[in-house]
Amino acid sequence: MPARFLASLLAACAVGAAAYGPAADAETLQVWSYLRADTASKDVKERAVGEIVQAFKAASPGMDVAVTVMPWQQLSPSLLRASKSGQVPDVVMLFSPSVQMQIAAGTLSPLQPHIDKWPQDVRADLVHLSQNMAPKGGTYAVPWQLRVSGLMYRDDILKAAGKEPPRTLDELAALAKSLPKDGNVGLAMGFSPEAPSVAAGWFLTTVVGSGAKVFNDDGSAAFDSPQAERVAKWARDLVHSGNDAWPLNVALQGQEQAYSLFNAKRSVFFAMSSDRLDNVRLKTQLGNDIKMVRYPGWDKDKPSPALVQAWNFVIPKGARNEAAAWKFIEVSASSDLQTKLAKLAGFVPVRRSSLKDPWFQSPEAQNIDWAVDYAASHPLEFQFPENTETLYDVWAKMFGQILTDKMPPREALKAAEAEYNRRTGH
Amino acid sequence: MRASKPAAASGRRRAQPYLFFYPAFLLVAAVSFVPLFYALRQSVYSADYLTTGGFVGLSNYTELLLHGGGLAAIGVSLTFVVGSLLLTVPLGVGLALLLNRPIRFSTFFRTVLLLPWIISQLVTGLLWLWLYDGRLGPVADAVQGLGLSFSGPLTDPDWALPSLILTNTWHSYPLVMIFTLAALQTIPRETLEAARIDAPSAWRRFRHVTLPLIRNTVLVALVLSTLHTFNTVTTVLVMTGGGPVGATEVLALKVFKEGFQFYRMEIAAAAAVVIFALNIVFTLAYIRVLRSERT
Repeated sequence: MPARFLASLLAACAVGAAAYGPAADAETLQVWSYLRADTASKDVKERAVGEIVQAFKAASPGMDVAVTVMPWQQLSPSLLRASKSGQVPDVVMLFSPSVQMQIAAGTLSPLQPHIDKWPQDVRADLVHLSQNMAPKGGTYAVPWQLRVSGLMYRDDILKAAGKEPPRTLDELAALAKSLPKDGNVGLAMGFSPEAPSVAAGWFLTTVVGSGAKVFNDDGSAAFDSPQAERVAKWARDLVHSGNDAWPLNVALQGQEQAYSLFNAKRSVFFAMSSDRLDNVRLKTQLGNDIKMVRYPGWDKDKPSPALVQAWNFVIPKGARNEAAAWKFIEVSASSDLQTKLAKLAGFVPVRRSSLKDPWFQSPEAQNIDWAVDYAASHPLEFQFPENTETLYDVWAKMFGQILTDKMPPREALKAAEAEYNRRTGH
Repeated sequence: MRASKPAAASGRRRAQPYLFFYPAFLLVAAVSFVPLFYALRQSVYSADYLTTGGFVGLSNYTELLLHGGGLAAIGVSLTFVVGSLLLTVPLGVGLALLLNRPIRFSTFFRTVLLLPWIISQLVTGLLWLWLYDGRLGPVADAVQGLGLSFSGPLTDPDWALPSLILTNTWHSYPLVMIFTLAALQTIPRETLEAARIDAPSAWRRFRHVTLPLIRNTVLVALVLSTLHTFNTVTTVLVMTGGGPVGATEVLALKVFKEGFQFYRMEIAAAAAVVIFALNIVFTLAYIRVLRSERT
């Protein structure tokens, strides 16, 4: 074989080998996140992640942390692919709706054995979300940042009209019909399949709060209930009430468009999670005239249960530094750090003991106080399905049919039930 | 001995082009043929997230086409493609004819008219989402300022797809325009001057002289536009997510959603194979038209 050919072949192999780079350092914790870790960043969330990394390094001398940043929507599919290829990091940030799917796919290491080593009072101190637990028990994810969904509203508009925030769905409908002026709308919430999670989450808590179940014990859909029909009819009637209470072109929009509408001060009510409140106050420049209220139910004293979601840390199966990964998670969920993150970024703490800090009684912590009170007094008792995206997509289509009058609510609920069961193999 | 040396050297010379060709071919095969084969295989197997299960024959295709809205998605896709081409091709050819004239600042106009093609599908989708917004968009503002109503077409099941067609036309016409312009500039000046004598009417000159000379290039642009439009995901995902009520759920979007949102890899693979087959059909049809013209 000619020497020149052999030399070219060897050079090609060397380039190929170099492309893979050096092996990861055993003393470096690999973390996947949608946020940079930067304590000097203008973004409070990036500063918060920076604080977690610093706290971990202080607690683990000799360990470094390499944070790989990617868009938040990519974290879950990337983890799935990485698990298949065996190239997993040590810690991954996952949003609540993605955890059940990863548990079902077998990509996560159970965290319960680590949690069981804590003293009983420390175990009870941590907020446990059902979404982070396997259907048969055992925790697979620990939250580091909580948010509670509710109804944001323009307190200035309500006060000017001499009205109180709605405590029932009928009160919400009445206010949404009577308050909007000059082309503004009553309610900003959208069921577009592009981003239906907030609206679908509202439907979920309202139906569960009405006393209906969403799933049967075997996981098959149980959407067709009188309670669900009542909620769907309420939505349809409000959209077709003939004014700007909840216009069709808003009800079928996506979440971010509804967010833009409220930020543009063109809506009275807006369904969203508590973590966005400070941002909305800043963007609208309305400050404390933007407040939050619990999702109203049918009865005055019985709001819909609180939908609590979280960004969590998980340890993928096959992580090389599992002990260090658990240490990272422990540090992130420690009471002191959680108090610090609450003060820094307004996060709802994942440790109940954090709330003993006097700061949480101050006006600055009003938002957190609201969220904690709502979640503690009206918890959502619900086992999330394996794939929440499938559920929300089916409901988005269902509401599209109901709100455009292509199908009456009962028929649409039945069709959605059949569609969900077909897609999930029930 | 003496006779074998020239034969060996001749053999090496013949093999040399292939030695240069194969690395590139292997790379293309790795990123094109291997995923295609994987998708074909996955489409006839079950899947549990990313783990391939047992052989299931055509069940995934049955599930997709008969129960999973696949046929409807094919219909929406074909409407999207045909509607886009009906606007894109005349617009692209028309603009190319204008740019081919001796007008002032033609370079500037050419650059500006190329911009929609340079902008990514994501930015295109976000831009037109804002334009179409029935509450906050500038079009709504202008129309409502005239006392008319504009509720935003993307939330109307009857107008959502035509709106996407318009968006896609805006994004795609530069490709047709630039191909046509390049073809126009290869037409000899003498031919055009002779045509002016024989056919004083501009339309007759275009139809009987110019068009036959640029036809093949326009057909190539047509093929590329068809494939590009059929595979469009980002714009549709960003603007409507396939709604309202499935009015804009194109097959390519179905591949994305089934594969990356609902993790039904087997259905996504089946949909991807259907798209591939339809792309082959379109391409072969165009090639047949090209060949029939030559004969």
